[in-house]
Amino acid sequence: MPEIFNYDFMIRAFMVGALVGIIAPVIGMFLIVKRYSLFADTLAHVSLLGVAVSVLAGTQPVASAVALAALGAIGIDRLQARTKVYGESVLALFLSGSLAVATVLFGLSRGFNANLLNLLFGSIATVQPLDLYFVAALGVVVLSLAYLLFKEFFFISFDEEAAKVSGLKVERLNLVLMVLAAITVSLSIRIVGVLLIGALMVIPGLTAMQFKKSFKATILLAVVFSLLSVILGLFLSFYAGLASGGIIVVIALAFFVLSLLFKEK
Amino acid sequence: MAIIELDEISFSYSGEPVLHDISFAIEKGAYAGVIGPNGGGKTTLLHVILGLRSPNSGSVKLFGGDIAAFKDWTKIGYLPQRAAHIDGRFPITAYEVVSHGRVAKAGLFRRFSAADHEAIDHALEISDVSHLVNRLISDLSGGERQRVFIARALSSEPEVLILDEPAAGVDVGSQSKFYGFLQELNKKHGITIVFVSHDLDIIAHEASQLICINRSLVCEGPVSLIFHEKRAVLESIYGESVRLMLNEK
Ligand SMILES: Nc1ncnc2c1ncn2[C@@H]1O[C@H](COP(=O)(O)OP(=O)(O)O)[C@@H](O)[C@H]1O
Ligand SMILES: [Mg+2]
Repeated sequence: MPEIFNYDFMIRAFMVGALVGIIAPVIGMFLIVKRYSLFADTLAHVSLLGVAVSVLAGTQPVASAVALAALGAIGIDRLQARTKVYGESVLALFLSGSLAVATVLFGLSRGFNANLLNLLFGSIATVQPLDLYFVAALGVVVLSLAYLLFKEFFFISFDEEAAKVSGLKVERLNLVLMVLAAITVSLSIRIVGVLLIGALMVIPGLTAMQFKKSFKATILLAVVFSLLSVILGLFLSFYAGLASGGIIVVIALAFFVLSLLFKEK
Repeated sequence: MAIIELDEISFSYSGEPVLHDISFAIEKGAYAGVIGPNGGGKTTLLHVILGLRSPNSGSVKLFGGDIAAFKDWTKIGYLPQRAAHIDGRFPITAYEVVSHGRVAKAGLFRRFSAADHEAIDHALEISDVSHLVNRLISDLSGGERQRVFIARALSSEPEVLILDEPAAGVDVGSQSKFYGFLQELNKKHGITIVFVSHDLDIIAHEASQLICINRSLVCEGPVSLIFHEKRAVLESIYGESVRLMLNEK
C-alpha cells in the first residue's frame, strides 16, 4: 500500500473528497444552467462566517457552516422575492457582508490566522473524524434528494414558467435546491476552501458541456471530471505539500482547457 | 361546457392597467384565436388564465371551477411565447424537453413509469419529432424546436392547448404544415385550442372563435360573424389588412 494511505487524515480526506467530488458538480450543474454560478461563492463566504461563529461559540465547525449557509440561502431567496433589490446585488450583499463579519469575529479570537488560510484554500490535514461523519451523513442526504427530485429540478431550471403552469411548486423546489447548494458548499470547505468551492461546482460542469451531450450525460461527465480532479489533487497535495483546494481547481481547469481543444477538432 | 371562463377581469402591472373588464368563455372543442396588437395584453391575459398572475378584479373559471381550487393543471398544455428562443447553451435533448411534460403527472420523488414513457413516445410521434429525440435542442431549426415544445405540451395528454405566438421564428413552409397539425389536433383528437397571435390573417383562416384584445375586449364571437359585423372595429386596429383579407375570403 502506498505511503499516502498509512495516514488516517489522508483516508478521511479521500472519503470527504470523493463525496464532495460527486455532489459539487451535480448541484453545480443546476446553478450553471440557472445562471446562478455566483451563488456558490456567496454561500461559501456565508459558510466561512459559520466557521467563525463556531470558533467563538465552540460549536462543531462543519455543522455551524452548514447551518449558517442554509440560513443564508433562505435569506437570499426571501430578500430576492420580497424586495426590489437586483438579484446579483443581493448575492454581493451576502458575500461581502458575511466576509466582513467573519473577519471581525476571527479578529476577536486571536491566534486563528494560520487556520484562516486553510479555510480559504483548503487543507487535507484538517479533516477531523467528526467532520467525516457530518459530511457523510449530509452528503448522502443531498445526493438522495438531488436524485429523488432530479426531474423537478431539471424542469424548473430549464423552463420555470412552464413548470409553474404544469402545477409544480416552483418557489418551494427552488428553495430546496438552494439549501442543497448551501449544504454542498459547507461540506466542501475543508477540502477545497472557501475561495475555490465555487470553482469546483462550476468548472467540471463547463468542461462536460463542451461535449454536447444530453443533460443527464453532461452531469455524469461533470462528476467524472470532478472526481478525477479531486483524487489527483489530493495525491499532489500530499506529495508536493500544496494547498488541496488550489491544486484541485488547477486540475479541473486543465480538463476544461483540454475539452476546449477537443471541441476545436 | 366552458373550459375557460373569464368574468370582468382587470389587471395592472404596478399601477399601469393592461387588462380592463374582460369577459368571455371558450367552450370545449373550440379553436379560439386571440388576436391583438403587440403590447395589447395577450400574454398577460394568458398568464391570468394560467394562474401565473392574479387579476386585480374579476374571476377565472377553469373546467367549470374557480381557478383558486383548480388542481388538474396537467389538463392544460402550454407553449410559452419565448419557447423557440431558449438558451442555446442549455445541454438538453429533444427527448428530455418532451419528458418535462410528464414531470408533474408522474409526481414528486417518483421515476417515470411505463405509462409516462408511452405518453412521451406518443407525443413525439404525433408531433413528428421522433427522429429528433437524441438531438440537442440548440441544434434544431426553429420549426423543429416548435414541434418539440408542442410535443412537451401534448405529453401530459391535455384537453386544452394554449399557444402564445407559436409561429414566431418559424419559416413559412413549416408554418403552414404546423397549422394543419393544429387543425388535426382540434378536429381529430378533440383538443380545445387557444391560439394567440398578432397576425389577424392566420387567425381568420384557422380559428372558429375570435377574441380580439387591445387592453380591453374589442370583440368576441364566431370568426365569420365578427368579420361582417365588426369590420369597422377590426379595421381601426388592423387597417388595410382587414380589407385585403375579406376580399380574399
Ligand atoms: N412583467 C411586466 N411588468 C410590467 N409591464 C409589463 C410586464 N409584462 C408586460 N408588460 C406590459 O404590459 C403590456 C401588455 O404586454 P403583453 O401582455 O406582453 O402584450 P402582448 O402579448 O399582447 O404583446 C405592455 O405594455 C407591456 O409593456
Ligand atoms: Mg405576447
